[in-house]
Amino acid sequence: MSRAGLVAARLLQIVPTFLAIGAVVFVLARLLPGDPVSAMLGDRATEEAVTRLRAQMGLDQPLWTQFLLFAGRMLHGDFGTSIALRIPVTTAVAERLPATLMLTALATVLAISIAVPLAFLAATQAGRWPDTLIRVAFQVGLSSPIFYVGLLLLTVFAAGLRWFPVGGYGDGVAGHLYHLLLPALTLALSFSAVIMRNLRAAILEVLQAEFVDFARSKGLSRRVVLFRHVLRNALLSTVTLVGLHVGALLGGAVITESVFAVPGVGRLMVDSIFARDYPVIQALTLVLAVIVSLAFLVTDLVQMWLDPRVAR
Amino acid sequence: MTAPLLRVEDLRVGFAVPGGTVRAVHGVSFAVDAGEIVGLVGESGSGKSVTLRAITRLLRRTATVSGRAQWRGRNLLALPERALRAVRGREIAMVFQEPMAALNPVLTVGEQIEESLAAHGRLDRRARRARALELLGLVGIASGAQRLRSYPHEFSGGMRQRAMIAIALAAQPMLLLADEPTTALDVTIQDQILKLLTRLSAELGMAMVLVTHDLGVVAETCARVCVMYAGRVVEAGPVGAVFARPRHAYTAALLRSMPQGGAARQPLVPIPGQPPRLDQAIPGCPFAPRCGFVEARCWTEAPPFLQVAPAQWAACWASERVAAC
Repeated sequence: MSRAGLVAARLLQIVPTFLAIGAVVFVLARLLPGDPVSAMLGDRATEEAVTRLRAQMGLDQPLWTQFLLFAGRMLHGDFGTSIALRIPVTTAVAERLPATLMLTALATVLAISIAVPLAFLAATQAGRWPDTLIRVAFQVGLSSPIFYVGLLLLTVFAAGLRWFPVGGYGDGVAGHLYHLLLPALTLALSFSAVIMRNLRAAILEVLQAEFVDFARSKGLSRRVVLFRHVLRNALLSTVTLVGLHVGALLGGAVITESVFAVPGVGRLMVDSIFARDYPVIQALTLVLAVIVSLAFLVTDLVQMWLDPRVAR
Repeated sequence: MTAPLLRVEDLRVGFAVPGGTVRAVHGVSFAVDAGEIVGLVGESGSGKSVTLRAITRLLRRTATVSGRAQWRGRNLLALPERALRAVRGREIAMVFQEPMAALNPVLTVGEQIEESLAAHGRLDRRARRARALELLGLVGIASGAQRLRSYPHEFSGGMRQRAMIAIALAAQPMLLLADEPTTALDVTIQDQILKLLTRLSAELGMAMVLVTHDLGVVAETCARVCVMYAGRVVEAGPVGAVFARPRHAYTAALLRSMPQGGAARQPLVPIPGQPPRLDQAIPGCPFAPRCGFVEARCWTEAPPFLQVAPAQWAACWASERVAAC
């Protein structure tokens, strides 16, 4: 199959993926303990009120009709009204989503910018002291819980040195970036440890490849050999890892947003779970699942771009 | 008589392993004249590939190399990295055994030819492309313009080896080090590649060191041959003389173990036993345990590498008895 054909096929896969995500979210919402109607009306609601609300919400319909109604409303961006916030779910999510997306994106960029150069240094100095130092440092980073790292950064850079705000989201893009830097760094540290370890191992493996010897035998400079021949091949597996990790990063964002009081979907999710705000939980699950599958899509496309052998 | 193009003297390569050193190459010396094709032949583990890679210092960091590799008045083994890079590819190029492994899978063949040119030449982009096309023609790859945009996995095995040769020849080297260039190919393609290499060597006046375990390949392509065993050159001389009248018991045994093209149904005589371990010192001749001509001093005294006939050298105490067989 041609490369363009493969890209098109991969893009089409997103349709059944989204349908499946929708079905899972629909079923999950119905498996949750408790009943949305009693959650909305409370324990002392009259039988009549319950029946009316059930009819209003379409819960008296057969399951498959409910699913079609649900899917139809999703397609129109209608997620209902938040029980706790008493505003449309779409509005609640739309207000919070940009902060989380920015936080996750910034964390990814930071993690990559920290991990790639250090992985390179560690791999080319394998077994020597820079390698050991980097690996030990990252081992500590990897095994420290996010909330702990977050509090540590807060104490030192925000409360102590006062270089950064203690929390919040700020105004304007620059303000957002400034406020999100510490939380993003918190998220990035463990992520960069994962990338670093993977990339270091991948570089060491590629360095053993015969095409590296062949490249050297051509008289190419060390820089060209490392960047053109080694790095590009080593990145193939790391790209997949980064893509797969986006989900974990979103999970980490929940904790980080709480520590740094960032008004993102992570905190909204925590608040909604405590408030049993089912419409919001349902919408957030759907949105996050869609983001993760979009991340997988991007990963696959980057993979196709990096590795010509994928298009076979 | 002019000085040889390359003179390797007392080359020793050791690899640090847990608990000692493996002496992969143990005092190898040989010379290559301009335009000449020299074969390095031996079993797996005889040190022939390591010898080849040591010349332009393409070995891993765990290797310790000593000796000399005199190249146009300079010792390559003592050259600074930067000066060595100017020699690699430009003066001494290399082709490897397994083209699928030696070509970078994510770069097009064109890119891999052009980067060689970019590293050494002063050619601009357009001239590099033209030269790349010319090189593909030289190694017999048709419709080059399209092939330059192909990736290695889109080539057949023989085409890949041709592409690798084109890359190696890009900067017009004076010496080509070929490490088992036909071993990974099937027989008919092997023959094509060998013919290509000998033709290119003659047309371009390029010398070649051909590493192989296949005596047939040596007979077909080389003028002189060095037979290697256990990291040493045990016999060297003109291919005709060495094959007709070997002076080292190992060479003789190796020739008997090879199928003869003409002589059908003649039983092959395999060499019994295994090559020695290279992580311990060998006091006498390393071939002694497997040798049919072995005598007492073979176990205790290393035989010197002596001239045994015009232009023929061997390191064998039983040299005369071997020759008389």
